[in-house]
Amino acid sequence: MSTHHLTVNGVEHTLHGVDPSTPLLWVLRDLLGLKGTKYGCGMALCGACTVHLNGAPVRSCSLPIAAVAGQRILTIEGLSSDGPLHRVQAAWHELNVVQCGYCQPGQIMSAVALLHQTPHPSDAEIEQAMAGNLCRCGTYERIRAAIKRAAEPS
Amino acid sequence: MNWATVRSLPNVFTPTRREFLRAGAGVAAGLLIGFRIGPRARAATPAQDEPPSRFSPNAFVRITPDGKVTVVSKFIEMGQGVFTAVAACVAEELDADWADVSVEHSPTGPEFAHPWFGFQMTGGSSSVVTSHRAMREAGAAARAMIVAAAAARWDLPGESLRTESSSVFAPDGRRASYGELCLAASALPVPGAVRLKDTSAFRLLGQPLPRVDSLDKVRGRGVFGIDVDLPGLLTAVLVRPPDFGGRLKTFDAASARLIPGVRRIALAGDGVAVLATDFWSARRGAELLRVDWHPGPLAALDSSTQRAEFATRIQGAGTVAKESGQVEDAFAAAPMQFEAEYEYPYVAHACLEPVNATAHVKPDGSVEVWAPTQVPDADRAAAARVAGVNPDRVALHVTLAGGSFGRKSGEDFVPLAVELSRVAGAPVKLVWRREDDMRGGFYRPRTLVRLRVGCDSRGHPVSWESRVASASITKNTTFGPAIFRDGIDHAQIDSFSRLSFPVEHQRHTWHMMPDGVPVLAWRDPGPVIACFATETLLDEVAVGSGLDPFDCRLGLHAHRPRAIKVLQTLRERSGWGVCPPGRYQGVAFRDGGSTIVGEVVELSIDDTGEIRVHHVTLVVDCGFVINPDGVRAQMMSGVIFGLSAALREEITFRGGQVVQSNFHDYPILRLPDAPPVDVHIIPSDAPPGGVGEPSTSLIAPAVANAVFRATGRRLRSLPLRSPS
Repeated sequence: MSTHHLTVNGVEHTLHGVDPSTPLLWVLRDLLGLKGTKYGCGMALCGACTVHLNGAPVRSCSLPIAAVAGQRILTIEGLSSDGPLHRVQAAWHELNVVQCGYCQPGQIMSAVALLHQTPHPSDAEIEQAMAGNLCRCGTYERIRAAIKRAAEPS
Repeated sequence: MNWATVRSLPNVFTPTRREFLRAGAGVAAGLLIGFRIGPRARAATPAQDEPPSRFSPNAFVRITPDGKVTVVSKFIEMGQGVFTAVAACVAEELDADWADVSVEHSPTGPEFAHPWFGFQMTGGSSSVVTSHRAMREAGAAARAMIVAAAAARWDLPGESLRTESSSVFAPDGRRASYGELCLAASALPVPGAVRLKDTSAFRLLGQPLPRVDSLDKVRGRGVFGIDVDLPGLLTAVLVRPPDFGGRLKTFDAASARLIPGVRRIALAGDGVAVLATDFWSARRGAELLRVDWHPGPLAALDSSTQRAEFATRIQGAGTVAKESGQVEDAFAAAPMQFEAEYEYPYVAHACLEPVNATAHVKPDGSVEVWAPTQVPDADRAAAARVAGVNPDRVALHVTLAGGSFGRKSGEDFVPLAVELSRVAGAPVKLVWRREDDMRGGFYRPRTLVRLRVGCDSRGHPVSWESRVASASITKNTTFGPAIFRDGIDHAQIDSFSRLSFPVEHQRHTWHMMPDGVPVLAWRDPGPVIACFATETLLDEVAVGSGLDPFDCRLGLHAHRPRAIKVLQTLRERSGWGVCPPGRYQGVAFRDGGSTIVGEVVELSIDDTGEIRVHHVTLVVDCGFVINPDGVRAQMMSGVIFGLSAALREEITFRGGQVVQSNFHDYPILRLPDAPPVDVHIIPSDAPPGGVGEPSTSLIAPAVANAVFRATGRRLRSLPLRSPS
């Protein structure tokens, strides 16, 4: 049990008495009350837990808190806070992408990271970046379209 | 208190005295007025009138002075878009501004019962079908009262006033918003009868609408069952027997208790639970539990040897569900004979949100439950039984569901959470780990089907015999009395026995397997089994009689103009008969009465035998379309869900245990393998038909039929695997 410092959505947190093996996912959900990041598999197979670590997409279910000490974490809550939607969220909303919505925070975080890295991704690049995010409701076709919409020059 | 629980949990509706009096004034035809009259409501009813803070003419709509319109849905939002569809019905007649509309799930109560069952439920693609009129009436009643309030304020006749986008307009230019008028409206009598708009006047219904839950969900603010949080909440992980029917022998929790967050160990159902301050501690504790089990009757269950039990059962007489003519003689005399067996494995629902429930058994004995459930009344009754109280002491809040597809009607998760809370004396959230969800049942049942069809020389079926061997999915559920009758599970056999085309000689028999592996309805439960068999068999009939598969089905449905239209549109829009070399097409079709769907797939098969679906064309007639975008979304959803199972999914057993545990060995379809689905909706004035499920059942037979064209081989078992 130890003390950990991390910055989540621009806010610094000091966590006491947390087992260092605790995955970031459960620190976010249960200790910081940020429920937007979801649990789907616990083994980095479904992508529902995707957050950004220093801007890169990571599966928070498989990242122990000890490994993220002092680093910048961005969750779905931090993407737009109470302000205007991020353009990826706006594209998701315009195209009515969501169905049950459980996978979508992870989908959005993966898509935001993709577009940051590759502003105009090809179909193959979209597939590679998004293959790790499962959707049981089958919204994949609209996810593709929303990524392309968000990639359009405004 | 966590923001998620404060912001998004539905409030228990407590009527003011005025609303209470109104309920006693008589309920008009077509207008639902519902109140929960229970101990809590009575305690809240004041001795004298208190000024109303909102306008609630009925149980389904509420307007507050800030202009917000809240629609109350008795159906759970599990992705199918029912919140949006129900709200559109209310908002249309109310003439509300769509931007002001939000939806919450109802409390439990008799006014929220499903008309088919007499209890509250979501499922069977029946929500909009059974409620659209009542929801429109609820909105129309609210509008009428708002107009009456404006008329009184302006001293004008109500008929001279116009409504649009949550405002009332007078001919002289005066206007008032619903927010401004709603409290005055709440003082007026609820109308006895309401007139509904003509469809030509619709502004919302029939238009693609932004989903009401989209903004919250893209912001990550949707509160699913697994997100519920409460002060003092313990999270529980339940360790259960490795084989279904196994029993607890002994356990040693010494190591588990050493995890700092672990608070207690408790028995619930057939397992041992670790209760902790947070999920990760509970999970670590569960992994450190040492448990010994008594093996149960299924401890030797093995998928390869289980087949023989089904084969034996299907040979027997079974129970006749429907019979006409002389099927044996007609088959024997038929110039063309087709006979085949079809096999279906257990499959999991595998919702992204695993099964979960939160319960709080309080010191005074009352109970509060939060769960993503399709059957709130059944779960409330079970919670009451476990807590030893009357159901009216149980408040059950239905959350969003991160997918359900039938799984969250299992009636299994709420009572376990209640038991744990009762024992722990604290609120408890019970969460299935993915492994628990994958291995704990309840599955689409393993099934063996035998079809025997005799056709005349033109290829028209003259005899049709179905045998269906499966365990029952409804017998042990709250749906049992309605659906499981005379030893027959109608949810499973009716899709076989209700052919959509005339056949003179028929026999359909149900060969029930004993209970064992827990099974349950899985999206489109009857058709998803029946259509794979019937639509691949019809393809064989077409080929055998030299008919194009479309012509075969057109001939069978000559009596059904709506079916003809779907088939003709599908043939045209899919480019049937024209595809590039190396690609093959297959078709499947179902006339479900109020909803008719046809699908054409285009696929290729690589050298390793892997099937790749490149494109799906889908045509649907679902009667009057409430929300075309919702229809498209559900058609696409069912195709992808069905395709994933058709190509990839099976739950198998070895040594009594489920082999699969997570998404590495239960691989569901991913984005790169998901084909585009072109949906064409046939305009119709017929009553709305359901759309949540029907597209699911046709993708497997369409694929199998295309594989035949590619390889000459008929695939009759799922998942589909082509020989390389």
